[in-house]
Order: sequence, then C-alpha cells, then structure tokens
Amino acid sequence: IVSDSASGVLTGVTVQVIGKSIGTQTDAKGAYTIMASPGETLAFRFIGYEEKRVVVGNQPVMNIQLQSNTAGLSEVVVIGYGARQKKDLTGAVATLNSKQMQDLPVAGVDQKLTGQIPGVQVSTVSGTPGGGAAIKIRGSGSFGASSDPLFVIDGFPIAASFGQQASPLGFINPDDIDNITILKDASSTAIYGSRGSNGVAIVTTKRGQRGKPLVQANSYYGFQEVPQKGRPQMLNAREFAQFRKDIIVDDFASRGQTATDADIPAEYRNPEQYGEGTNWYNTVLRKAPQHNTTVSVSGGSDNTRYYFSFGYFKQDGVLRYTGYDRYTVRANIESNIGRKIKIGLNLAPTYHTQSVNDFENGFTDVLTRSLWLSPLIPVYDKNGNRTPYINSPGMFNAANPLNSLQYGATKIKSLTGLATAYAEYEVIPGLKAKGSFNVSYGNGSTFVFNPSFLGGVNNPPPSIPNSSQSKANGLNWLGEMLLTYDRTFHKDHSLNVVLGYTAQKSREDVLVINASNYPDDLIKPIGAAATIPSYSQDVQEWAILSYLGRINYAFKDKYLFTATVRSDGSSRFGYNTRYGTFPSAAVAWRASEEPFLKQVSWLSDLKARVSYGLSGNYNIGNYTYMSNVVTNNYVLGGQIASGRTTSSLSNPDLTWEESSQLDAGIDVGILRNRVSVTVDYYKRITKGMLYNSEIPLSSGYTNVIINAGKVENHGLEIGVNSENLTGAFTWTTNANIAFNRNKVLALNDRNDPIYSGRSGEGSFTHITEVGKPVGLFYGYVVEGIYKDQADLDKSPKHVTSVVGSIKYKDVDGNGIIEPVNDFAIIGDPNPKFVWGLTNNFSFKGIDLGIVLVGAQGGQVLKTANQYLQNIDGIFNTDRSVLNRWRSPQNPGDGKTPTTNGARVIYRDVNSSWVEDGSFMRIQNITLGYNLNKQWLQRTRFISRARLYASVQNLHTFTGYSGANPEVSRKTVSGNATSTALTPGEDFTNYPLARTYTLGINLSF
Amino acid sequence: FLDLNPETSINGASFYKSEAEIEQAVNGAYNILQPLGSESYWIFGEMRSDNTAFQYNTADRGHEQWEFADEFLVGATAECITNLWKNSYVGISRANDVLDNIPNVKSGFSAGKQDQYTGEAEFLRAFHYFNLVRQFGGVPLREHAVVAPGGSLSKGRASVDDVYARIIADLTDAAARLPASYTGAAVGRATAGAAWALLGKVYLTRHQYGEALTALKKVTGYNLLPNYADNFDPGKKNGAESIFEIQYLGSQTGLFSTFMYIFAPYTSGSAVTGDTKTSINGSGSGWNIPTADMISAYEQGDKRRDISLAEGYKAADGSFVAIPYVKKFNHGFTEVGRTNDNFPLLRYADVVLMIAECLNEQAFVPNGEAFDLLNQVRLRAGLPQKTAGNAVPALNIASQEDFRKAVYHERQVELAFENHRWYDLVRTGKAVEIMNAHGVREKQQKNYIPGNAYQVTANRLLLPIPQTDINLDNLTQNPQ
Repeated sequence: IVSDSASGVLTGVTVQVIGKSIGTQTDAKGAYTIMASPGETLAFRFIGYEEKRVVVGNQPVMNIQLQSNTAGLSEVVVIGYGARQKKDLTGAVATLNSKQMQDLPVAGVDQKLTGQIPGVQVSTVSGTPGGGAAIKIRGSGSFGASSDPLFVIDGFPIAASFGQQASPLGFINPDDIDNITILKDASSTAIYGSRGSNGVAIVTTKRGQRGKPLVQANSYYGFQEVPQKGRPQMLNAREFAQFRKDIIVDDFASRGQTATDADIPAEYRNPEQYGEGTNWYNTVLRKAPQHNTTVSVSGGSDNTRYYFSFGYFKQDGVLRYTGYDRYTVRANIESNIGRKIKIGLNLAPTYHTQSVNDFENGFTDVLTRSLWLSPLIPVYDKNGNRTPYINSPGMFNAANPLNSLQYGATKIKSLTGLATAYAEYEVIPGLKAKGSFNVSYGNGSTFVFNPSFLGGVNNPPPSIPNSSQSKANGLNWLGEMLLTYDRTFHKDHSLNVVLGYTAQKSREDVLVINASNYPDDLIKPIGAAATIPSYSQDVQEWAILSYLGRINYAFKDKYLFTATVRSDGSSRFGYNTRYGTFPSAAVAWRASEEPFLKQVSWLSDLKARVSYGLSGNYNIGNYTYMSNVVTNNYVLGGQIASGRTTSSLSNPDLTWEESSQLDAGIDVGILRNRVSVTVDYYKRITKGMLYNSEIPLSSGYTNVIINAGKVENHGLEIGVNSENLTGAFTWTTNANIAFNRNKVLALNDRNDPIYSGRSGEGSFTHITEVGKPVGLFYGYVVEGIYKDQADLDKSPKHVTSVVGSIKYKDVDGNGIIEPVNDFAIIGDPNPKFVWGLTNNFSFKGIDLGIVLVGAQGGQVLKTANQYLQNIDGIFNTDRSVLNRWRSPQNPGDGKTPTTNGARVIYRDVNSSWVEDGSFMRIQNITLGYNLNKQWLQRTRFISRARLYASVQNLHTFTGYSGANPEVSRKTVSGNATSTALTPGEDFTNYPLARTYTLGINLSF
Repeated sequence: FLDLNPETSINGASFYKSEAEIEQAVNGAYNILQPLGSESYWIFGEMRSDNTAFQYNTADRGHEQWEFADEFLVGATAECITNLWKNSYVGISRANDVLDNIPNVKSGFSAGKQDQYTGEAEFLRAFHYFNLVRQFGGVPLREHAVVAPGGSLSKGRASVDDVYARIIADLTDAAARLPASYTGAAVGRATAGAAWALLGKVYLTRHQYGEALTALKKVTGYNLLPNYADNFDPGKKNGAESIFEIQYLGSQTGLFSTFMYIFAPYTSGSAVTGDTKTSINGSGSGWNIPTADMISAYEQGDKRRDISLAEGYKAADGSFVAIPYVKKFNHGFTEVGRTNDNFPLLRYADVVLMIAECLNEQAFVPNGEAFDLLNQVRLRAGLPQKTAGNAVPALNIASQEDFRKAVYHERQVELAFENHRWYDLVRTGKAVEIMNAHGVREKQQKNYIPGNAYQVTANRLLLPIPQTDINLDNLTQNPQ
C-alpha cells in the first residue's frame, strides 16, 4: 500500500524497478503488486510528492509513505531553458503548483496567482467576464513600455499584454496547468534577455505519468453577484428634480432675482411627485451563473506518456448581456524512441466567445451612462416596453442602457491554437540536444451592430443602422536548438551547461470594416449595408534572434555558481542598436551542508544567495524607431488629392530599456523543512527607459519615443511556508509580504517632470519627477469653499469663481487659479506593502482553505468624480451635492460647492478625489469534503471524490468609497498600452463580483 | 530576418525621393488647413473680435475655454490655443519636409514642377508664420524639418522682425515661382496671385503701404463676382473672385466640412441645418454667433446681410427664436453630418479694399481711384456709393480719416465671418478701444458674462504661448 503523510491511500503512483523496464501503478486502494528480487531498488513516483527509493528486502509486503513535496528541496523547478532541483537554485524563484490553485473560480491563470507569491502583485482591476488581471513583479520599472511580465508556456514565450477585457492567458485552461514558476531576479531572467526585465512567469502544463489511465473530472457551478458595498450612490428621482430646481433658484438668487415657475422646466417644478425613480446602475446588474468543467485522461506506457483534456468554462457577466464562453482542448504526448531519442507534441486549441460592450472607455460608455442617466425616467413604459430613449430636459440623453447592452453588444470570437513539437537526442551520456518548434496561431473577429432604434448620446433614434467589425489573424513561431550537458565529476563537481539558439517571429494582420446605411435592422452582414464609410488594415511584425548560454557549477553541493548570457537581436530597435547582450551571475552557499551546521538538528536547510545581472524590456511596439510616412489626403479640383506626411520622428538609436538587478536572499528550512522561510532583498535600476517623450509642439510633432531616465526599485520580500500541525488535523500557512520602493533617479536631459494622464477637462492627472515615485497624482489642492464675499475678494480665484464655489490653493502664487499651473502633487498610488495569507486546514476528509490578500498605504485617484461631481445638472450626481453650499447661512458640509459658478474647475482633478486605498480582501474561502474511500470502493470505478463549496471575493475591508481599491484605467500612451505613468485611477470599471460555487473533483 | 518594414505606412527614410512623392508631400501639407479652418481660424480670427460671440449654455460647460477665448479670459493651458499653435507648426513642418527634400529628388522634375512645389511650400510656410506672428508675436523659427529627437528644441523665440523677414522672403520667392492659375485636378493650389495677395496683406499689416500696393497690384486675373452669395456656394467653388480657399469635400470621410453645424444655435435641432439625423448639442454647436454690434453694422438695404447671417430661426413648433447665426456657410449637407462648403482665406474683394486702403494711406484723393475701388464693393452689395461731398452725411467722405473709417467698416461687413476682423482691428490699432466698448455693450445684454471679461489691454492682443512649449522649450511667456 502506498499512502501519503495523512495516511490517505494514493492511487496511480508509479512503481518501477530501477534499471529494468518493469513497472506498475497503485490501484484505487493504493495497493500494488510488482515482481522484484531482493537487492533491487523500487522507485515510487507521484505528482506532487517526493520520489522515494526503497531497496527490496525479503518481505512480501512493503507499505510506503510518500512525502508531499510542496516544501521539498528535491522538488524540480522549471526555470528558463531547463529545470533545477530546488536546493540547487541560485536565483529568486518561486513556484505555485496546481493544488494551490485548484479551487479558485476564475477564468485565467493570472488571477490565480493573487496573493500567493511575495513580490508578485496581481490586481483584479476589472470584473469583465474573461477579463484579465494586472500583474507587476517587483514594482514598476518602466514608463512608456509595458511592465507586464513575460509569460512562457511550455517553453514558448508568448507576446501577451495586459488587457482588462481580455486576459492574456485566456487561451489556457487553468486546470491544465501543473505549475507556474516566477523568475524574479536578474540571474534567472537574464536568460530571457531583452524581454526579461519585468520578470518571467513560466507555465508548465500537465504531463502523463507511466501507468494505467487516470481519468479526472473537475466541475463547479456557481453564481456571481455584485456586493452592495461600494456601489456609487446617486440622487434618486425626487432629489434630482429638487436639485435641478435648486440650481435655477440659486442662480437667480445669486443675481438678486427670484426664479418663477416659468423659469423651471415642468419636469422639475414639483419634485414631490417623484419617488425613488430609476437606479440605472442596479438595473443593469444581475446575478449571473458561472460554470466550469474539465475532464482529463492521463497515463502512459513504458515509452509513451500522454495527457488529454477537454474544458468548458462559462461565465455570464454580472452586467446584463455580457458573458464569456471558452472551450479548451489539450493533448500532450511524449514518446521515447529507443533509449536515446525522445519526441513530444503538445497541441492546445482554444475557442472562446465573449460578449462585451463599450465599458471603461469614457463618460459615455454604457456602464458610466447607467450612473448619470436621468432617474426620472422609468425603465419600462406604461405598456411594459422598455423606454427606448432616456431624456429629461437639459440633460445628456442616451439609449436605455438595457437596450444598448442587449442590442449594441460587441461579439468577440477567437480561436487560438498553440502547438509545440520537439525532439531530444542524447548524444553521449549527459549531453542532450533538443530541437523544438512552437507555433501559436490566432484568429479572431469582433462584430458590433448598432440598430436604428438605439440612438447615441444626445442623438435620439432613429439613427442609421451601422456596423463595425474587425478580423484579425496572427501567427507567432519560435524555433529553438538547445544543447544541455549535465555531469558530475569526481563526486564533488557537478556541472550543467546549456547552450541555445532561438529565432522567433510574429505577424499580425487586422482588418477593420465599418459599414453603414443598412436599410433596416434585419440583415447584419455587411453585404446588406449600402455604404462602407471606412475600412483599414494594419499589419504588425516583429522578430527576435538570440543566442543563449548558462553554466551551473556546484562544488560538494555546497557552493553553487550560475552564469548566464543571452544575446538578442530585435527588429523593434534602431539600426544602430539592434543587438544587445545580457549577462548575469549568481552564487549561493548552502551553509547547512557545512559540518558545523549539520549538527544543528532543527536547521534542515540554510542557503544564502547573491545574484546580479542585466535584462531588458522590449515592449515598445513595432517600427517605432523609424519615421513613418502616412496618408493625409487633401481636396484639389473637387476630388481627392493623394497626400502623404511624416507622422513620427525617427530615432535610429532606439533600443531596449536595460535593468540591472542585485538580489540577495536567504532560504531557511527549520524542523525538517516544516517551516521554510525565504527572504529576498533586491535593488533594480532600470535605465534608458523606453518613453514617449513630449517635445515642443513647434517641432511639428507632439512626442517621440526615446530612451531616457533611470528608475530604481528596491524592496524586501518575505515568504513563509509552515506546516503548523501535522497528523490527523493539519494546518498549513503560506504567508508573504513584499515591500517595494520606487524612485525616479533621472528623466530626460533637463530632468523636466513627465506629465501624464488626462482628466475630463484635458488637464494632467499624474506627474513623474526625479527623486519621487513614478506616477504621483497631480491636481488642484482643495482649501475649502469661498465662505462669503470678503473671502472671495481677498483670495486667489479662477475667472469663474463665485461666493460658495470651490477654493483651490494658489500654488504658483500669482493670485489666479488656473489649471496645471496651480497643480501640486496630491497623492501616491504606491502601497507601502502588499501581502497574502493562505491557511489550509484538514481533518479526516474535510479541508478548509482561506486566502486573504491586502495592500497597505496606497492611494486611489477617483477620476470617476469628473462626472459624478459634474454639477451642471446635465448628469445625475453623487449624493454629496445634497450637502452643498447654498448661501452663507446654509453653507452645507464645507466641501461641496454651490452650483452658481466654477463648476468646471470643481470637476477637474483635485485633492478631494484622492482616497486611501488600503484594503484587506477575503479573496477565497473553500470548504471541501473527501468522500469516504470505503464507500467509494463500492462504486468500483470512482477512486477519489471531493465536494467543495467556495466563496470568491467574499468581502473587502477598506475605507475607500468605491467598490474596488485595486483599480487602474485603460490608458494608451503612444504605441504602447501602459498604465505605468497613470496608476491608481478609478474611473468606473466593470464591477467585481462575489462568486459562490459548488464543485466536485473526481478521479477514476 | 530582423529588417522588418511596416506594410501600412512607409519608412520615412525611403520617401521623398521622386516627383510623385514630393507632390504627395505638398498635398499632405495642404491637409492641415482643414483642421485649422474647422476650429482655430474662426475662434481666433472672428469670435475673438466684436463680430461674433457664442450661445451661452448653462447646462453644458464642456467648451468653456472657447468662451474664454472670446471673452479675453483664456489662459496658456487652453486646448484651443494649443491646437492653433500645434497645427500651424505641423503645417510648417510639412512645408519644410517638402523644401528640405526637393534637392534629394535625383530623377529630376518635369517642367515647372520644381518651382511650383517649392512655391507652394513657401506659400504655406509663410501663411502659417503670418498667423502665428499676428497671434503670438515673435515665435520660434523652424526653417528646416526636425528629423530626429535631438533637433526637437528650438532656438527660442525669434523677434517679430525676423519672423516677418522669413515670411516676406518666402512669399517673394513663391510669387516668382508659382503659376498664375491651375486647371482641372490642380485647382485649389496656391497661385502667384495668392502669394502676391498675402504678401500685400503682410506689408499692409506692417504699414508698408508702398510695398503693399506694389504686391497687391500684381494680383491679376481675378474680379468681383456679380452675385456676392456665389462666393460661398459649394456649387461654384474656386470662382473668379476666389484667390485661395480651404478645400473640403462633403462626400469624403475625413475631408468634409461642418461649419453649418458648428455655427447653428445648439437649441435649433434640425431647424437650421435641415439634417434631422445629426443632433446638435451644447458643446458642438452654438459658436460664432453674430453679436448685436455685428448685426447693426450692416446698412439698410445691404444685400450681404441676409446672405451672411440670420437673426433667428423658426423652431419646430413654428415660433421664432431670436438667436442669430452665421448663414454664409449654410448650404445643406451632402451626407448626414457632412457639408461640402469650402472656406475662403483670400478673396479678391479683400484685395480691392486693401488697395483702396493703401492708396488712401499714401494720399487722400477725393473721389480718386480708392473711392472707385471702395464703391465697386458697395455697388455689388446694393448700396449707394460713398463720395467726397455727398449730400447724405452717412455717404460723405470728407477726409483721409473718413475714408479709413469707411474702408474699415466696409471690410467688416464685406468680409464678415471670414476671419479677418480680429486681424484688421489689431493692425489698424483699433482693437483695444473697440473691444472694450464692445465688452461693455455685451455685458449689458448678457448677464452670464463674468465681470472680468473683455478687459482688453495692449498685452492681451497677443495670445499666451501654449504652456507645453513654455515648459518644454523654455520660451518666454507673453505678459497678459
């Protein structure tokens, strides 16, 4: 019988006689039978457990207990272009295995990393079904280029970037993932050269093990809802009508006149006639189901191992008529041909459909509209039909958001195929040559049809039916040749050498067609449209050619050295700077192997590590180094005259930004590794930042991409894994905390600050200055309101200021309040520390897991206030206006100004928008129950069954007034999509749902 | 393997190498006139003057900065100022691209083409600098295109005289190189006449009347159309009176104009545009609204008045709404939201009045040539002649100063809403006086105008330099 430390029997454990091709697997009871002679060695191998070798004696029955390898030092960790045993690692590397991720009901693997690894900050910024998370490893080391880590899937670096509507890893079924390794320090990431500086996430999918087929099924079903806490609080119908009436009354009063009924639109004259009215935001939300099923078969014979899986994931959105469906298939096959050749094939096609809308764009998007639309208008008219167009006098009008969601949705369809083929040949013992070819093919389309009855913002129906669609296809291939030499000499010297050559190329082709003048709403394909007003095609290509090498040398298992180098040539950079070399080195000392420490019985492992190296960031978009000549036509003689103009400056010196990183770490294992602690200090300096610099407009250009500036990130990461209790009742804790400090050391030639972001009034929202962190909030400083005429007369003011209007600080001291010139730093989005805490308990068949995550000290800039606090009356408004200044006798809360003037500067970026974003979130609670094994045996085919219930995103403890303190807004800067310079903005994101699920894991 | 060139644009390093590519670059240089004409030119040439204002919208304060431009409250961070500056310099940069690259065309040009493209680029560069120097004073002189990040900083603000020297040199050279006229698919390009007319205007602005007269007299081959309205009719574009205009094409995405919509009262729905499918809203419409001062400037019986403006519109319920609007560019739409109206920049009537002004400045000759020119314009408008010794006091011009007043007045109504008024006020030295008086009248009629509006001083005749260039290029700001 083979069992685990908790005395549960293990099914499917591979048992093999070393040196012979005799093998078997344990059955459902954990039992095995094998023919072996005394003196031979049996090897027991099972995923997630340490391999155990036992010499066969004369006894007929051998009961074996395997140790779970989550804290094991012999655990093999996948690193770039190879794998190492955990004890031999010299860099800052963390892993997460499938078991740690299993119960979280999220679409993408990126979200599963939340709170698990120190120094890896995963922010769930949007609740869009199928949407992604924002991942940052060790702070933000970039301005204009993306700061997303590089994802490597089974050896294939994927060019994915963070998207709030589409997860970059959405095409992988998380259930197919065996483990994820995060490379953090330069000695680990330098092997990825010009792409490594933001950290690397290596994803390894599941493989089959030798033995009889193991069938597993995982399924859960649940529903999601948006918590009440944090929903924006707007005026109800009665309050809004009163507000509109009061604006007019106050306006007349301020001019010494009295408003009469005739001055007030009839709709607002008698506010008492209205009750609550319509809360559009609540109307567009719903409870929505979510479901996931994955079935997999794995196993293998002596020479071939296989893993097949099929997955279906469906997430309806909590915003009505949005949703995500995904079908995934994976086939991983590996086969030995003779003793020297191994070949393998991985195939993973994924198809998904997504129904989204225009959220997170601007104040007219359907989600934002549901906040400011008139509460006076009912959702349904007298006949029970939806009110088609929401219109109150003097307000912005738009279609009923339910209609926009239902009939104006964007339908996305995407097919992604990932394929890898490889062959490995053992030239001489220890020397292996491996060649592989990887292809990723993607084919996607989006389609949106705007029917005649919807109408636009301030553009009532009927409108002309029109459609917009895009067709994209992309091909990304990678060819690799690797030579690996692994040998131990004279017992004490172990050497591992990797040499490689890789070439990767990507091509994406996007066609966009806008069709209009459909005769009706019935036929939607573009053939029915009378005109095609615009169409465009974009082709993007990039290529990388690289040489890489690594040497690992260990002396007596005590002194470990690693040196790596990669040379990259990239099409993205200028002629003069196309090739770059990225070296790194690391040393580690396993002090616990020294004789004087071997005697310390409680200390099972002690390792000190130091590494230093260079890596780069190439996320800059294609062709940016060259000047581009584009089409800009004119009209001559009454017809189009073909025109061309230079649209961007060339910069032949453009190259990657380069990070140098120092890392010093200690790994400690105590009490036979029941407690393991990892502490890392790092200091990363990124220079030659890829940055879209603003240049004087008199040059004829607004900006140019340059390498400028220098940023330092340094910090401390602590991770603790602890088996607090073992035995019948087990309790394990995984705790991590990370402190990162970010500082700009230099910017451009003159060290002028970088201003970034745009408020609704066109002012900057962020500033980056030398000596301070990147992307601080920048705006007016609120001093209160002008109490009376005397206060107004003696204070600096804006041209529109009146008594009772908002009073800002005169930062430049010229007596006049004006945008930007009177802006100051008003907040800092960077948290002091972020942390995660996972506790797992189990007793008999019951297990309980609790994941908590949090961040302390960061601030949020609530840019949603630019419309929530628009007091023109054209929008429904935040409830704070109920306490506004009305007269010197009725001054309100002292913060909310009158509607009589200065309304535009009140809704421009100011210090009242900055709030503390510290939070603690109960990310997940899962309670599971393993069905009694004896009972299961009666079913004859089910070997393991676990039922569980979980709640994701149960509650967020925060003082922040919005729903989600982990926000950021989609911003495009130049050619790169990046939020590095505009962090921490809360505009109105797709709300985050709380998800309740019931699930089952079955093994057959 | 690593040399990848974009497929949807052209690598700049391989462009500007042939005659055809230079012609495309010239066409691209004209292109920037469209966005400038659609926003910047009328905001700062017309709405800033006493001719027009805006329809106040209490509910939607979205375009407050445009109002501030009218009310002399606008600051250096206003986007409308940045746009004027930026797009003018984009135009200069594109002209410089042409001029810098013409010598690189190794295959040579067909007859006359090298002169023509050079002249067109010089004309456009001078046109932009002329606008800039009049709105901002001395500005950075960019005489060559910036091609790499290292050249992005300027040498600072040049003096007003240096900017004018560049303008005069460019126009003089352009006038010598450009053809007198074009045919077919080339109509709309800058002609020698356009260069002379602009040069004359430059000298007039500099009060160099003799040089102005010499230049203006070379504007030949043009005449006043019998019917004033024909100048603005999209069906009669580039007529005999047209010297240079911004070309738009209503049928084409990205090339159409929208003046009719911008200038319609935002409350008018489709009553003014006739386009029921395009909604007019607070921030996009209700601009360049004729003021009471403008409406009263027209004499009784002036045919131009009803062609140029309307005093109100008839609402859907049949009632008359007394919000005036500019009608000169209202000729219906070609497609929803798109109009085909061109916008005149230089018109022969302007040249006629400039010649009359120059002659009068040189010497007052009662009922001389200057009188004939002034009266040509008046007669077409259906108005009686103004003469020396006229029995009707309003038609009598007794002195050089009387003639000045008459010609300034004639320019105001003849060229109304064509973005000349502001520049005329400034160059004739009348801006401070007229705008302050205008401000007092406006405030009496419109209670929403802030108290500190229309405080026009000599400093405020120049716009503040955009804050971005003050910061990025270390420029000195104009005192406000």
